[in-house]
Amino acid sequence: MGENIFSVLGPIMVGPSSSHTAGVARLGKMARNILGKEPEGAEITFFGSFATTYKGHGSDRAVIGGLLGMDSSDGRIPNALEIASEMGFKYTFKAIEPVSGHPNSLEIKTWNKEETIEMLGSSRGGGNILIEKINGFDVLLDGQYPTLWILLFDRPGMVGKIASLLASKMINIANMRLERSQPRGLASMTIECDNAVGPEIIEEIRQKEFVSSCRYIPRVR
Amino acid sequence: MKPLWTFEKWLSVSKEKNISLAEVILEKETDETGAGREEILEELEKRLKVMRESLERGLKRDEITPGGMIKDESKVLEKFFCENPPLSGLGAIKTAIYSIAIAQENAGMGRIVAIPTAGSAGIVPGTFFAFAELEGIDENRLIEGLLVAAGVGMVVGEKMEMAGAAGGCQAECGVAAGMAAAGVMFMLGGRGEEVFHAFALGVKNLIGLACDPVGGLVEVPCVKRNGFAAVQALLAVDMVRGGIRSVIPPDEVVDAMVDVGRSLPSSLKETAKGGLAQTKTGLQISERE
Repeated sequence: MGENIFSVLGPIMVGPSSSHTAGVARLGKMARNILGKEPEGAEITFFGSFATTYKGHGSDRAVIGGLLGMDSSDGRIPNALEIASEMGFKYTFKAIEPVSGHPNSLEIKTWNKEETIEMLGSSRGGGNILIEKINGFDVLLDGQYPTLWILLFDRPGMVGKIASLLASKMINIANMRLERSQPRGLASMTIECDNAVGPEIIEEIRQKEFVSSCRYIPRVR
Repeated sequence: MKPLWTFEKWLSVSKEKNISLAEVILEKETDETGAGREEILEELEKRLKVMRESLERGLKRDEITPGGMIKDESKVLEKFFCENPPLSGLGAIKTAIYSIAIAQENAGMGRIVAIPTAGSAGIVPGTFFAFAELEGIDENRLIEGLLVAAGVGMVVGEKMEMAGAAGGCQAECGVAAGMAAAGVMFMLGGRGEEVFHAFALGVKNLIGLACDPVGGLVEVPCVKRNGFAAVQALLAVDMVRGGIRSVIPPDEVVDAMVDVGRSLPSSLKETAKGGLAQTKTGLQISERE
């Protein structure tokens, strides 16, 4: 609803399916952006409808292409598996048909020398995606906004401190979400912003004594 | 709440301001998104270019698709009809070949513009490019045609989700045929009412179409169906040119699509649990996958 010209006339994408190919490439790219560095390998688990048709829809190539940094319109996606092998990028695929969540979902575990991240996401049609979990924390991200993902200690007033810091840097918040594992425990905060967030601001957030970690996840086209 | 964008509204804005249907859509887009005219026109040119490239690659394609069901259909047809007159007419066969070529390109993981979806990506550009060649239509006119086609998609999108999983194939190939018919009618100089009736006639015969792809893949019946739906768009234009009108007004045809889309069982909405997907051969193919 609320269509515009380019929601009807697009996206420009590598076929054959906006949900199984374009959306999956975007999910792969999100995992790469969350890791924040060049990934060296990945384990991908396809659930539900993905599990039965991922090969025929090229979802395997799309997810690896995304992990390697390709957009959903990148003409190299059909050859992404070969490109990955040449680069020494290691990957495995697993298919689990029964699904408790969305019928088109997948889990990506990806790593480099320093760390490993895990992401659960789904493809919601028309190339739209939703990231539901990062490293076990519940999130809800659609990849349309530059996003900050902050792990912080659950104390009164922390949310306000982060919000005012962003306001002072003229960063406008589009959406914000807070989830905590237990009272006074570690809380996960996602902030979708209208504009890109510079590295010095991220560093400033990291320096706050109540912040455990802060990652910047660029938007995915 | 914003008032619903309808064919009736579109026509009244065009009459009030005395501007073309294409111009109404361009103004609506600049108003609603804040983008400039030039920016939008450039983006449209870019998409037209991607469509043209997908056609050129599709016409040469002879590689088997990932699902193994489609190979070189457009090439085979083009070769045959270079030497043999088609029963269905030159316009029809050219349109079918072009639409199938782009749909093949999509099935084979080529780069395409989803219009309105990837599965129906061959219909609008296939119809437009065949028509442009036969009638000598230039690039600027094609861009205007695309604006009208997009406007049609926007009217439909106000009321229903354009996805086989949501409304069956009528929500993909059906809508695309309506968009193509309206766009071609406009490029031929059709006035408001004629353009919308071309949409209505083009869509009405596709209402209720099952989305029953073999193995759940965008190959069978999708690729050849792009050719059929495109030819139907041409016939709708010819009917309007001859003076025929849709008895049911265009906006009500959209309401009918919404209603039928809801009534279709989920087995016929991209689940591969019914229709062609569940035939003996369809099942054998999906097991091979």
